[in-house]
Amino acid sequence: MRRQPLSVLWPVASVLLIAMTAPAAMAQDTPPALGKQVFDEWCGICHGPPNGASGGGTETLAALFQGTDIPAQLEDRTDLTAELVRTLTRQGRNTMPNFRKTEISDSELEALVAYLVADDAE
Amino acid sequence: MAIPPGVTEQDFASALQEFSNIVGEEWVFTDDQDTALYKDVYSIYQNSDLEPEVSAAVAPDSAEQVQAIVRVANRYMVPLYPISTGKNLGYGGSSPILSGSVVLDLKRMNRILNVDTRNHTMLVEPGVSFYDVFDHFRENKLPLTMDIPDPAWGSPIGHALERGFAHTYSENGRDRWDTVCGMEVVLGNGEIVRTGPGACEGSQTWQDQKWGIGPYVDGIFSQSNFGVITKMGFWIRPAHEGYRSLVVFVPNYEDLVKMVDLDSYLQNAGIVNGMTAMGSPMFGGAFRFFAVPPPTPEHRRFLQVVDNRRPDIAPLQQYCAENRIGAWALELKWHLPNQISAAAAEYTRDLFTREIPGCWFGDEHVLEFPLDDDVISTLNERPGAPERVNLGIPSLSRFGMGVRATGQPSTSQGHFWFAPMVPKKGEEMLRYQEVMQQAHVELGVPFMGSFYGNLPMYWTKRVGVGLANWAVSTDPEVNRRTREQYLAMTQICAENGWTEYRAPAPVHTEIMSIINNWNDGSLLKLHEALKDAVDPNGILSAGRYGIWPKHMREEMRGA
Ligand SMILES: Cc1cc2nc3c(=O)[nH]c(=O)nc-3n(C[C@H](O)[C@H](O)[C@H](O)COP(=O)(O)OP(=O)(O)OC[C@H]3O[C@@H](n4cnc5c(N)ncnc54)[C@H](O)[C@@H]3O)c2cc1C
Ligand code: HEC
Repeated sequence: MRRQPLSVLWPVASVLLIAMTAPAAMAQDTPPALGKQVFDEWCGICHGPPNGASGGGTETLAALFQGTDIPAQLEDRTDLTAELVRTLTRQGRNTMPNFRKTEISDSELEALVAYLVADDAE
Repeated sequence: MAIPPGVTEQDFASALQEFSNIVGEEWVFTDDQDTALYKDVYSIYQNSDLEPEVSAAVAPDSAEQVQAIVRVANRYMVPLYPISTGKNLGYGGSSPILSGSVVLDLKRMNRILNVDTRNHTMLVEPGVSFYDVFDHFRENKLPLTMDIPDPAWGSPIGHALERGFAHTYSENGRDRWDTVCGMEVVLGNGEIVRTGPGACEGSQTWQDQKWGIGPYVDGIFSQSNFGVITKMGFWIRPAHEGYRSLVVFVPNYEDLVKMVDLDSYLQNAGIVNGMTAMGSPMFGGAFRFFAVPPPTPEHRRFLQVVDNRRPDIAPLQQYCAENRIGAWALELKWHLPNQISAAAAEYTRDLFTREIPGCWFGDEHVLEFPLDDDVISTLNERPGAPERVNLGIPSLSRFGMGVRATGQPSTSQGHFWFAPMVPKKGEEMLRYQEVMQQAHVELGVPFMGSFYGNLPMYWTKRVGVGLANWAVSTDPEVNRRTREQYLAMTQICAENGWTEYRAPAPVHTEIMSIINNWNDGSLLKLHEALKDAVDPNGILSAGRYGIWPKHMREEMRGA
């Protein structure tokens, strides 16, 4: 049932003071690793495996590219251009919303581009 | 670059300079490209002159900075529009209502300040999202959970200020406002206050009891524009131990009334504590929730709507009796240790069997927590499977609605939600269907799904929300018609005593006056009196929920 009694987990302090550190920690990573983090946080939630819980990105691209050999999942693509990734991130398209700079900064966007765009497609 | 209305270019430049001094230059956005990021991507005003422009955006990192910004804005009469995570899609996104406003983007204030694992409360800043809360609990192995709305990238604070709904517990859960306990607010006039017990320096119970001593004022900050919320406390939950769901099918059209009353009894007596789902397999709906197959072509023949009337009941009823198709279905959920929910489910089966002869039950789904990843991956997998959102596991599953899909070649440009509250009585729910059927036809609004098959959503225990949704278009003319249809529906519903729980920003002013008509709109006058008292220059979120600054009232709402 319960994994551990509460008192074992928190013997002394009832109130925790923990600051959020995510964005600052990200900046130290190498671009592709940071790009992957940005993708997981902001894109993979719709462009991940089509499991009924994703936000429809993969499903809609599967319908769009039906009959072609373009894969539905963005991470499997080899034809994405930097321009397309930048434009979609900042402008959105149909039900895909855009992202503000307080969500994805310019440097995070470039890391995302480095992660998604194969070298020869730049 | 846009300029706020009534502000000189020089004053605006001075205000921007002072904003930069407060937050640092990099956190003041004035380029057209950058301010365009704040437009509502789902706007029904897209590609038209009515789309509000954003003159600038400022992103502070602390309550002190917020207070300093509000003071500067008062000095130069610069209108501000605060957002938390700014993901209010379907209800206005991150866009202001008054064109030329400066967006106060609080996303950078994303600290989880306190988590109390023993009394199950937390205190957060506006930029914290539901994903952040979930990750924080998981990474720190905190035995806690929190009810979440479908789009988990939104914030507890933005969700609360919209009085939005989540999907799990019936008490202190789904109704977000109900879980708010204490806040810190920078008022429109630049003053900062803490509410409830937090008004005492060093209070030890700020997140434990909603009311301190004296008037309880927290409610006036929701669906309004009187202050910028910089901290908010929430009641959260001990981590899940178990989950159980049970579907009841009732045989007859008339059984709806009894079925709904039994649900109210179970909910209000605390015997069931999860979100109820209801629908009608007989009328070809609800198969998403109940794992019943969609209607066969033979079944569909009985579902033809002729002359805008509900299909004939007698032959339909007979077909359904012969094929064991429920007239109505009810899904009950328990978020309890499974030992306890097993007894509650047994009691529930007895109750329905006794009260509605001929009813039958679907499979029970039971989950034991903590869930393994391979169990999590099966959630949402197929109709009738438990959904992540019901278990506090973040996702964006409902963004899949309206997208281009196999067999559905066109895609929507966004959502525009209509959300009236329907009384929780079977006979009123049927009347709501009749009235809305007529309204859809008269106004030329496309139907969402199988109309008679759907019943309202039960985010709250005592009232259903009869959702309707328009697909937003790139064509301003289509969107203009959508807006008119929306207001006409609001009017029709209000005439029947059904009012919206929340509305998209582009219709706030009109729907507030259509709905609040009792005693010549005396409630609206109270809203305005409060506005003038705490935000005399009308700096904050002009027009939000129909509340305009004094100097614009005549022009904007003819008052
Ligand atoms: C497919 C889909 C499914 C949805 N499902 C749900 C659902 O299950 N439940 C639900 O409730 N909604 C739902 N929505 C509606 C909406 O998208 C969410 O409620 C969203 O999370 C709200 O955005 P937010 O939390 O980022 O709020 P924000 O956009 O940050 O805030 C909303 C508004 O509150 C005010 N505000 C915010 N912060 C402050 C502050 N600190 N001080 C003063 N004023 C402030 C502003 O006027 C702002 O515009 C859905 C929408 C879509 C498109
Ligand atoms: C809310 C769900 C959602 C999120 C989050 C999301 N997308 Fe999308 N994305 C979509 C949808 C839906 C489409 C298809 C739009 C259409 O109808 O054409 C799409 C399309 C795209 C395309 C176009 C592919 C092509 O070849 O035409 C790209 C590129 C893309 N997204 C990138 C991203 C990136 C990068 C992110 C993260 C920063 C992201 N998306 C986040 C839903 C989403």
